[in-house]
Amino acid sequence: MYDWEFRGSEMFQWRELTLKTKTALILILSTWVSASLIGLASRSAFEYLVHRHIDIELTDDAKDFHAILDKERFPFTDGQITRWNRRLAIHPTHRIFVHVIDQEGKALWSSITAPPPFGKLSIGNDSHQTIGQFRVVHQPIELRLIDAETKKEVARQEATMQVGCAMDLAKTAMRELDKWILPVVVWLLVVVPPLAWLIAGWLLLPLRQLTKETDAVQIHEDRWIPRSMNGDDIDRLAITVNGLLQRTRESIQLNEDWLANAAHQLRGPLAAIMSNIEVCADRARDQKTGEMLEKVTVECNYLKKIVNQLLLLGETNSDRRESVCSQVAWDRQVLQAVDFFEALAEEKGVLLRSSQIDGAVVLGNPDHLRFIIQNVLDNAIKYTSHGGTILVELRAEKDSNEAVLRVQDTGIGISHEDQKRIGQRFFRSNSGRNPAETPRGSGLGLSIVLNIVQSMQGSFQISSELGRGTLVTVRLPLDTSTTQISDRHGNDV
Amino acid sequence: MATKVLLVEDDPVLADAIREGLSDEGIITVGVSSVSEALEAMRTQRPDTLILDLMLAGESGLDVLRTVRAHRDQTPIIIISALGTTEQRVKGLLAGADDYLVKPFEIKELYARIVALVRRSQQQEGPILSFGPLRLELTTRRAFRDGKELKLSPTEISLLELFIRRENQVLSRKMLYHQLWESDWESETNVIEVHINRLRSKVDKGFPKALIHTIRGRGYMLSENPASVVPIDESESGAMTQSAPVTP
Repeated sequence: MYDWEFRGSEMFQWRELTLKTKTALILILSTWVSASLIGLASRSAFEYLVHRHIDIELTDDAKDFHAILDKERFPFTDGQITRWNRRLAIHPTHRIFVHVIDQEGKALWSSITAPPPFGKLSIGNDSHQTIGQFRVVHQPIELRLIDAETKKEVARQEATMQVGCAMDLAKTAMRELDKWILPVVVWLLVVVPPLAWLIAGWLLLPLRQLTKETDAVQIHEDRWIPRSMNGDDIDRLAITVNGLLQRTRESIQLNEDWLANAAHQLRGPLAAIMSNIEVCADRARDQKTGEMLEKVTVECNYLKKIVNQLLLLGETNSDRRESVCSQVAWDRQVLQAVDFFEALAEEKGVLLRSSQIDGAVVLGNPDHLRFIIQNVLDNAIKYTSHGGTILVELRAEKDSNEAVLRVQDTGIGISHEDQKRIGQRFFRSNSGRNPAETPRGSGLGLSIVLNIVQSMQGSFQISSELGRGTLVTVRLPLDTSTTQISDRHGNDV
Repeated sequence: MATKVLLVEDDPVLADAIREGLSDEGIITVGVSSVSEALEAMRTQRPDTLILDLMLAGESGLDVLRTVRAHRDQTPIIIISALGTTEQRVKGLLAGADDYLVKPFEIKELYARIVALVRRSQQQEGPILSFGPLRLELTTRRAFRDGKELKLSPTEISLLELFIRRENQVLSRKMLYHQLWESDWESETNVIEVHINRLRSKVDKGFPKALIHTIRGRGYMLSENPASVVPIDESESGAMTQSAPVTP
C-alpha cells in the first residue's frame, strides 16, 4: 500500500481515495507519461536521422567539390564559375551552396545559390556546424594564385571551402510530424481517463462482488462465499474469508456448546439440591430445623444468582452475535421498572422518580435490556441512603438517533480509582460504604451490562463524585423502522 | 379426581424431590427418564400434564414434544430445563410447549403452573376476572371491590391478577417476583412485602373481611377462608421468618 501524501493540499489525500480511483489514476498517469515519452523519443530520433542524413550528403558533396576546387587557379574564369553553379543548381535533394573563404574569413568566391557570407567564422575544425538557418561543413583547400596578365602562377594560398545547405526543409518535415503527434496526444488526454475508469472498475469488480457476498453472509446460517475456482487473488481471498468464517463459527459453536454444558452442569445439581431442601423445609417439624433450612435456601439462592449471572455473562459476550433480536419499547420497560423498584426505594426512604420518559424503540433482546435497567436501578437504590433521591430520565435524541437513559442518584458515589475498575469481573467498589452492611452482589452485573451495551453498539458511561452521587448514562441506537413492536410486558403497564 | 402428571427427568435426585413435593400438594406423579419411556407412558397413563426435561442422557426432550404434538395431542406441556437463554426458551415454546421453567425452580411454582395449565385447558377465560367481592377488568386494567373502584398502580394490578388467577393457592415471594419483574433478578430485600402491603391497604383496608393473607413460612394467598383451604399448624412453620406480620 502506498502511503503518499500530497502535502500542502488539504483537498487531496491519496490514502483516502478508493482503490478504483487509485487504479484509474495510476492507469491514466502511466498512459500519459509513457505516451509522451514515446512521442518525444520518436520525434528526437526522427530529427536525429534527418540531420544525420543531411550531414552525410554534405560530406559527400564537400568531397566532390574538394576534388574540383583543390589546386584550382584563382581568380576563377567565368566558364569555371558557370559550370560549378550549374552543377550546384541541379543537385537533387538539397539546395547546396559553396563559399570559398580565406584565412581572415573573407569570401573569395561564393556560388550563385549561396546566402550572404556569415562574417567572421570559427573554422578551426572541419566538423559539421549549424550556423543560423544553415548546416555547413568546412574543408581546407589550397588555391593557386594566377597573375592576371602573365597568366602565371605567383603564389599558393591556404583557404577554406564551406559547403552548406538550408535547413528549412528539415524544419518543415518536423512541423508535419508535430501536426500528426498533437492530435494523438489530445486524443489520449480525452479518451484515456474514462477508459481507465472503466478498466479499473472491471478489474475490481470481483473484489466488489466478494465484499457484497461477505456482507450478506450471516454468522448463524450455513452459507459460504462462492469461489471462482480460477486460483487468482480474489479466489484466494474468498478461501481466506471462508476459513475465517469457519473458525468464527466453530468458536461460536464451541462457546454455545460450552455454555449449554455449563448451564447443565451447574444448574442440574443446584436444582436437585434446592428442590429437596424445599420439600424438607415444608415438612420440617421443629423450628430450629426450619431456620437452618431457610439459611441453606438463602445460600442456594445466592449461588443460583451467581450461576445465572455467570451464564448471562457468557451469553452476552461481545464476540457473539445477537440472534434473538426484536423491537423493544424501552420506555415501557423503564416505566415498569420505576413502578416496581419504587416500592424498594420507598422502603429504604429513598425517592425514586422518573422525570421525562420519551417513547424509544430499540432493537435487542428484551431480557438483556431488562437486565440493564434492573442492574442500574438496583445499584442506585443499594448505594443511596435514607433521604436520597434517584431521578430516571429516558430521552429519544433524534439528532444522534440514540435513546439515552440517565439515572442520577444522590448516593455515596464511586472514587476515581474505583471508576476505572468498574466493569471488571467480580470487582465491587468498597469506597464510601461498609461492605458488611450492603447486600451481597455477584460483582458481575456491570460486566454483563457492558457486554449487552457493547453488543447493541451502544455506550455506557459513569460519572461520579465520592459522597455526592453518581450519574449513569446508557446510550442505545434507536430503531427507526416501523414494524410491530413486541414487549412481553407491555400489557402490564 | 386427582391431577396426574408425567415427569420426564433423568436426574433421579431432582425427580424424587419433585414427586414428593407435588404429592404434598395432592398431585400424582409418574416418573420416566428417557424419550421412549415417555412416549410409552403418554399412551398408557394419559396424564393431565407433561413435565419435560430437555437434556436427557444422550437424547433431547424436544423429540418427545414434537412427537406428542405431531399426534395432535394437546396435553399441556411444561419444559423444565437448565438452558435459560431467550432463544432456547423461544425454541421450546415454538415447538409446542405451554410453559418453560428454568432450573432451579420452586416446586410451589411448578405446582401453580400445573394447576393454571390444567384449568386453562378445561375452561375458557373471559375479559373479566373475579373472586368473591373482587372484580378485575383485564382490558381496561381496573379493579373493583363491591362495585367500588380501587385505585391500583400497574404493579398492583399485575399482582392482583396473579392472586385472582391462583385463588386459594399459596404464592411464594419468588413467584410474585416473577410475575412483577420477569427476570433472574433476586434480592434479599423485601420489595415484595412492600408491594403486598400497599395492595392490602387498598384492597382490604376499610372492608370488614380481609382477602389477602400471609401464610407464615410459605408466602401469600388470596382466599375468603384461608384456614379451611390450607390448614397450617402454626407451630410447625418456622421458615421465612422475615415475612411481614399478618394484620388482617
